[in-house]
Amino acid sequence: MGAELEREFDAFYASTHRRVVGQIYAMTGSLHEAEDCTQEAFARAWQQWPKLAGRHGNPEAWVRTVAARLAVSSWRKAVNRLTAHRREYRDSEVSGMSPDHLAVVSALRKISADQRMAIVLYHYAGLSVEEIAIETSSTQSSVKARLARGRRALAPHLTEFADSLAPEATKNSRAARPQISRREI
Amino acid sequence: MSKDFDAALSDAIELAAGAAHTAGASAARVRGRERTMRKRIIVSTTSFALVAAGAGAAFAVTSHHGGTPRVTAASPSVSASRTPSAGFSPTPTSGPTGLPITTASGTRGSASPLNTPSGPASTGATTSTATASEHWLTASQVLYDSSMNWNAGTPSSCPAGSYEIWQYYAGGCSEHTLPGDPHPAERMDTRVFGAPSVATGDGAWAGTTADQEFYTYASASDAQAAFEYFTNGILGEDSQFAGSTDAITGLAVTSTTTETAHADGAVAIDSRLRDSNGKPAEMNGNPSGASDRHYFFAVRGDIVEMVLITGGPAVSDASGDASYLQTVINALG
Repeated sequence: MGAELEREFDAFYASTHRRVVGQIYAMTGSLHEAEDCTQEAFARAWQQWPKLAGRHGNPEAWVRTVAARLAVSSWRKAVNRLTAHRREYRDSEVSGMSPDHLAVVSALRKISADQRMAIVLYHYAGLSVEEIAIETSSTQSSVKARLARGRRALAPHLTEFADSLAPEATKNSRAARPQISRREI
Repeated sequence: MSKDFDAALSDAIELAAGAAHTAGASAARVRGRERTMRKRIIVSTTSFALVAAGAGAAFAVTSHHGGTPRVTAASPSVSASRTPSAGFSPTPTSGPTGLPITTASGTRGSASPLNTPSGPASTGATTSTATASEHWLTASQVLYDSSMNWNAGTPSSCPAGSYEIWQYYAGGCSEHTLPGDPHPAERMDTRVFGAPSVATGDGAWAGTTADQEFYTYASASDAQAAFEYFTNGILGEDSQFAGSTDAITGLAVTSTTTETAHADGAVAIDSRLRDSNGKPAEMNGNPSGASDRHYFFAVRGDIVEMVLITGGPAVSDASGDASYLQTVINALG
């Protein structure tokens, strides 16, 4: 591919890679797995970069979707199940993590992958239910159900966060928050 | 005072993002480029095989062991001669059983599945209708039935779409949809078998399952490429686990993947994880009971069939693989 495409891809990678890794980390609880799935997603993006950059409109969402699906794919789990554990201790020691942070990440691992993805996209990436439905190839009602069930499933593990996990509180806090997906990490 | 979930989640994600190792865009480009090259090599190799197969198709259909490839003894490596011949006929033709053989143009037979017992269907799927020439296995036809006493689920079919072969268990239709997958199938039909009374043994596992899956591709060459990609991927995965340890016990783990039988367009593979004491390795993130996996792949025409049995050491007896691979081949109609 041409040098211009490479520069374009490299700029895209530089501006989005860490953000995607962070979101996939929240979905997997494993930094290494998040790194590996994200890198694989970027490799696949490069394979079809001209089309992706030209027509898709939101290549970051594409990469995030691919990385998230790779993360829950048993194929990737099988490939990663051992290699990931080489870095097990590093995974559990992301610098600066407080007990609250670890509690949130740990609780997310206890809910289903679909629910986890919906929770992260909604609560962190700032996507609307409609946007999540598009990104996950689901219906809006499915997304709403995943969010509701995910919050209910998280609640017993995060009793100190109960108020902010309540549907009404979540709706209110979300409305008041800026779209944090716009932030650069 | 209640804590803010959104804030804690955001902080955790940003901390992880900050700690992430960045392999770099150039590494991603190299990985993508290498894969594209491999795919081109596979496709061009397959195209060459198609030309050769087309020239001898008429002979092959009628003379190749009754239309189904004969299973031979185990070989330590995947042979390049596994290209099926009967299924690559350019026009619809009759197979040895009188059922139409699936062709590259997508012609399919009308034989009914062998049985349709009740059972859970995959999420997002509909009950598979009798539109395919392939046959569903009955519970008694699934390997290890004498010990597993399989329960057969209802065959299910996903709507036309893009589906990735998973080697480890059958998920719902949406879970098999993977943008960017190098070998997407256009259709997926699945039947799941559960083992209600599996004795746990030398390790911790339970819930042994078997899956019979048919993946229909856009063309025979696509199916062949997918078959090669996935079987070679499985057979080559041991090296990826070199130096690994069981996260729970800390013991070194060895992955041993062996081709136990093969035929033209078909292969049986046994894959097992053992720790340094010879016990099944149970890995975090690894589906329960997946220390051992037993695969049977077959390709004919535009369809790849996979029968996967997942569990503990009880599913790693390979003594009957050669004969069972023929059963899997026969299920392709």
